[in-house]
Amino acid sequence: MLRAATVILRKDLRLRLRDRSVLLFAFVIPLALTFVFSQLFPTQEDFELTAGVVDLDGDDVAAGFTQGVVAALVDDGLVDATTFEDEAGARAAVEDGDIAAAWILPAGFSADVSAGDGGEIRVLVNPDRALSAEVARGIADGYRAELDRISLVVATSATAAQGALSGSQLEEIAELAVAQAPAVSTTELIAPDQQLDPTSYLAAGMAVFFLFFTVTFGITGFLEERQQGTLQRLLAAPIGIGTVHLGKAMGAFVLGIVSMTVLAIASATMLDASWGDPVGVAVLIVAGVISALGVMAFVGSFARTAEQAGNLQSIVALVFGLAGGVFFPIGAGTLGQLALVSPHGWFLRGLGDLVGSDSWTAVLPATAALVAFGVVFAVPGALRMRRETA
Amino acid sequence: MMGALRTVVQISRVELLRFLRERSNVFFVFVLPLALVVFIGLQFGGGMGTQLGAVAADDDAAASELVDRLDTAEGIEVVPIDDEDELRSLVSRGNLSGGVLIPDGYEDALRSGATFEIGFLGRPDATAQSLRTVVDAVVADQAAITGAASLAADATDQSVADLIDLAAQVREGMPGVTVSTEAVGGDELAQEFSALGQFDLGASSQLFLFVFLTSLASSAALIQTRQFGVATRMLSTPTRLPVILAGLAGGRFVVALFQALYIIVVTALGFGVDWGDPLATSVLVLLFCLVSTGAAMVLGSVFRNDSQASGAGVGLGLVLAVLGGSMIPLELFPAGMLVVARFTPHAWANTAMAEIVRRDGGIADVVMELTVLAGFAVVLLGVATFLLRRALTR
Repeated sequence: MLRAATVILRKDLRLRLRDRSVLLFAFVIPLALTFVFSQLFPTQEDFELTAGVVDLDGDDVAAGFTQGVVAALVDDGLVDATTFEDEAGARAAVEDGDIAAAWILPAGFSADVSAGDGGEIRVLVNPDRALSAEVARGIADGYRAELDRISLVVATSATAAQGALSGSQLEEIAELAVAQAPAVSTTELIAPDQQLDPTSYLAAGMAVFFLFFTVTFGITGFLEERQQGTLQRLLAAPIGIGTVHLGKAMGAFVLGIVSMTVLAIASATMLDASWGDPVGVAVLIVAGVISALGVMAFVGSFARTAEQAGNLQSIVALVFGLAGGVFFPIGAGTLGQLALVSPHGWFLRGLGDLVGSDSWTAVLPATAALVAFGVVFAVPGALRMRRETA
Repeated sequence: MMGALRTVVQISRVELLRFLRERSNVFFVFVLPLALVVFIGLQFGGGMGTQLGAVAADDDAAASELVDRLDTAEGIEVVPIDDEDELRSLVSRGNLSGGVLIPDGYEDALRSGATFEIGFLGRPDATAQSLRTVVDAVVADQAAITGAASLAADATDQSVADLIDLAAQVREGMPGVTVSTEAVGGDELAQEFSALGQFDLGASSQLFLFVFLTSLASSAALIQTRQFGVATRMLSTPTRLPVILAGLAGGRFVVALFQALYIIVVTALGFGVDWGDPLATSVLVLLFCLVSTGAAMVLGSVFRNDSQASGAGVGLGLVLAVLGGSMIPLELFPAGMLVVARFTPHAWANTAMAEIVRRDGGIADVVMELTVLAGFAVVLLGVATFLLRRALTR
């Protein structure tokens, strides 16, 4: 039985490789889409804010921003700063898109802040660069919070002392305030390498999305044989229908595994993605292919022709894919629960858990869910197919 | 002449019928576009806010206040989460853009002037980075009162707890530094997005995605026309080749137009989507349908079997749609990708649609985009005619 199935498997694989559409679905399209999408979402490392600085004030508080805050960010590589003499120059540069944003410290800024009269930092942003705009505003707001904090210290001390503190004493307090460690600070609880970065998420999402198209070829192959009459000829030989199914399923399985493995490796080498610990990834890939096979066999059992099967399977793959968040992660609300009824969602969830944990065993819950998907759909699918052919 | 026209219409009609007879096409044309419009509308419609998870004790007033402040910060929507483990997995799975973990005892720490640490969890992307700056600023604002009270207490020999309320009062009366943002150049994105209905954004960009995708899907039927010998049999009749070619193109065009009209009418009636100036939108949609027809005809003549064509069709349809700003708005593209986007018809159509819908533009405002689309259509239809003529007559 196994030998006959292997022969069918080998013949199918050769046939599929000759027909280039499987190569498109299994390798080319997922990689292309991952590449395009990943270009659209900048990662932390390659994000840089190009911004202009206009210091119309020239005094110490403004310098605290231009030479303190901004200079530190330039050293960190987050900001690429250009100094402009006047607002018009910076405005033109933002308008032309040479810089994404500009900070303007108006004349009299330092005096206003020191006197407790407020003061204003103005931010010019190019709305075509939404993220840069947000970051530029965030940086200005950070300095605003810092200035307000220091003013509050001085004002509170002055009020509490009821006039007993001299001007020079208040200045000393202001200096203490500058040096004061913040009472409440935030710390990063999750290291960047403990998570799937956007490119890896996309690569894995696209891979599992197109996996469901790739395994389809095994099932449509069976229907094609029936349409072309080659199935009857196969059955005329001393081969059971089960053997034919086994051969087809093995073909789809091999294609699925190869496609996923190639995509995992190709996205890692070409696009700098990382799916996580290889053992965990391998387990998830096998489980993912099982779920795809089961679901697609079930769906295929409703079709009479290969074309119908292909179309039905595309529908199911699209719906599951969207619900599972292969194009963009689903939010945490009620919509997020949708991902639990999608094998795609479980696959991505498994990868997320894997990267966040030290051990490959983190993928086991997702693996179990995926295998369950496969079995729950495969059994009725196989029964239906058997009845159809009988 | 009239006879030729009648033949063209007849061939188009048959092509449309064949397309609609395939039941799964009905799903792709009728159900999927609306499902996606609703899905994307629900997901991004709520102000495009970044979701930030927050774990905080209910009975901690300071923690609740911090959560409220974060929620009112621009562009952030706070999602309450029960415990740290859940928060960690939601962030690491990408369901949330970031999260804050406020340990117990926050209020006490703020009251006593003790130092305190709040946990932040962020995705390894640039959004989380800007999220962190916002969270830091909000936290610093809240902690400023405690910081001020403790320094003032040192300076005046009073207790921190006594001065907390005083510091809060002082802050109420302080004018404070302000940060103002002004949009310069480009499109005034923030205002435009807020002016859009919940479904507008999804609907107009999806329109072009689906018109193009559906057209490319209809190239499979063109291949069958060739494979089944329908085309050669038509050639053996006195019908001239240009008429047959026009009929086959007409079939694709009708499918594309049908798809476009369906999406426009249903979203306008069902979700109240605004499609702008009728004349400008009609011309734009007609031109884009011609472009899609050309692309479908090219695919239908290049490929030999329909599974290859549908594979390439889905792939091309999705890649061009993403590149052309039909899944992520062009406004969010980095500069380099904007250049690439200009090579897709989708980008031109989306730009024109934005002009028409968001800025109430008329046909005169989108002449350039329409001209480029017409150029796409002429080139694609020309190439398709050449290829198809060769495929049918050799």
